[in-house]
Amino acid sequence: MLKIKRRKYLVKKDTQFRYMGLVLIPLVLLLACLYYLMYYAVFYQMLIPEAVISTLLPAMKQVNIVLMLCMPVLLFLLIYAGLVYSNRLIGPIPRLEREIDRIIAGDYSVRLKTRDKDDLRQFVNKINIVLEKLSKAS
Amino acid sequence: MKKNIAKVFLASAFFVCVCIVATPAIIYLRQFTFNEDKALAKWNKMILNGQVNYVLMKQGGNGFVEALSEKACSALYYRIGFKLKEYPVLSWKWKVLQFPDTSAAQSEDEKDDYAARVYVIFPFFSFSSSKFIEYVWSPDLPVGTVKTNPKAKNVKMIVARSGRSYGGEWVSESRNVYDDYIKVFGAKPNRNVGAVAIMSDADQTKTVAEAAFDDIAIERK
Repeated sequence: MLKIKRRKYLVKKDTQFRYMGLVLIPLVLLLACLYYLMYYAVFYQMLIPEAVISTLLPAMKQVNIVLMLCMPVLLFLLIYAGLVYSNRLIGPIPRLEREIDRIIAGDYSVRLKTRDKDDLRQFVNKINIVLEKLSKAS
Repeated sequence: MKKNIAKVFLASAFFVCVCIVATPAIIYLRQFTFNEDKALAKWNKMILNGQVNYVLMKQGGNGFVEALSEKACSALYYRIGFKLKEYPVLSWKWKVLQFPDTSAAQSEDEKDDYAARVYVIFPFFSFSSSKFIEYVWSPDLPVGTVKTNPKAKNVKMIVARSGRSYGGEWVSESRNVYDDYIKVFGAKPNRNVGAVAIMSDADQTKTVAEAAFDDIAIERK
């Protein structure tokens, strides 16, 4: 079987960004909320300003430095993972559209192709079985 | 003559009754008399640097909290939410039995020990958006001195009592916290009080401080 290599991760910008946003924005918001809740819980437990100044604020400063250093790497990894995984679903669609257009035009010898890790692989395989049966019947 | 005496007596009695009825009773939101055995059960301890010994004491049936700090700094706080405008007055009694010795302190930080502090805490979304007022008994700073914490502008210290000449006697304070808030922060409070606290510390000077607190009350004007 012919192996198709992934050339572009960003195939359908709008759709991919929309799905990435649907996952990434809530995730970042959730992390931000957790960060704030942890900070507020400790602050509310301490309450005495001298305790907060001498203990919590220096600790938060360290956490913020670590976050500032890690955040670009973390964001890059999240966006990269988002691109890769959204590409597994959305990546084959433009090519499948082109191949289906050829079938509509009457070329039943066309077989739909997917990559090994594409989420639509099983679905496309079944369409190929239907196409096989159709071409045998005709 | 007898009739006149009776009239004067009746008039006086009437006047006294009117005075009693007309005198507005103080409306307390909460009073901490510390007379019960478990009076500190709902007070939380916040240890900053070593533990100050807060003990419930009784003297002639009157309970109070005695704080002994040996090179330590920790506070007792009580969570209570209320609108300052409705209950603007905080009153308490305190006495200082021993001031921390700041004679060897070389910086302002090292001098930052007070035998007795009373806090009013206005927690908000974060530390920097919260406000804090500390009333302290200073041995040398004049009454009314306002100091801003060098590490946080939202923490204001007001000298409520000054001097060493009280000889360990109880001194009563009554502060209009609402007015003090406006005075030190320059604006009306836009957040509720979340807690009141007491503290005695001697950790910076590495000496000993001892104070006592009693009859802390949150009241209407």
